[in-house]
Amino acid sequence: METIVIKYLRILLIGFYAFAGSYHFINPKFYADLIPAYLPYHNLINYASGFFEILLAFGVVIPKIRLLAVKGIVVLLVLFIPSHIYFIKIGSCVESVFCVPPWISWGRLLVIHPLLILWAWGVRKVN
Amino acid sequence: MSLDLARLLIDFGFVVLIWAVQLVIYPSLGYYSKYNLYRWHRSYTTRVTFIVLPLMFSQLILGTIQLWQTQNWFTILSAMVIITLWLLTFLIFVPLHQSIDNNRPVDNVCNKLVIKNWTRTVLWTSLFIISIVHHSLNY
Repeated sequence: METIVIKYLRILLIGFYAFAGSYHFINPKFYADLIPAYLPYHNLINYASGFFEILLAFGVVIPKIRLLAVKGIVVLLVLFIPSHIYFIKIGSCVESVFCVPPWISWGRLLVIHPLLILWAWGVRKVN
Repeated sequence: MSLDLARLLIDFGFVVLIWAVQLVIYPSLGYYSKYNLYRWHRSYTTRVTFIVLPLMFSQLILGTIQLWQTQNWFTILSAMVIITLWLLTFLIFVPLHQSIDNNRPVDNVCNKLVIKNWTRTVLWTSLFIISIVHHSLNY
């Protein structure tokens, strides 16, 4: 039973990161103002994030490199934390994209983000 | 006492602690018989938690406040290293220690503790280095 749940969670995770990564290329404007202003090379950061999300999603598919890919996703998620904090700092609102009530962006940082990390870590087993 | 100084003190405490763990405590665990390791280790985890947990919480809280107040290379890098250390501790080290406490140690557990702990040793040492660099640049 546990194995089946992990398998479905893994398939879901692969789809999630493959889609999220592709979206960095499909609609780069969506991310433009979400990248903290104090960082340089916004375009590079945006496309590199998308590229690694797709690469790591495919990495999770292959059992031999699954653990490495999962670790990569955890590192990527840790690297995204400053962006979530930045979004809260600027009032949870990017006019060109979307505005949300502050509790949603706090929830994303303190609840959703740790859950994303646990989700990735939970599917690391090879079989 | 400024937040930065408090951080520096906690980071220094961690450098001493993690090197003692890496060079003395973890290697010593390999010299116990399986039964003695099981007996001592249950007491060890409780005792060491009294030292480690307050330090970890202090570092996390200080790092969070610093990041909230200012976003610069020091606060961002620190926060990411601190979060990585929490993840490593609770996703890798706590399960390894629990396997000994439950008398079902994973294969080669003492060796694994020593080898895997190099990552935490490097990260906690780096935190102290960036903290002292930040301090000397600003005070």
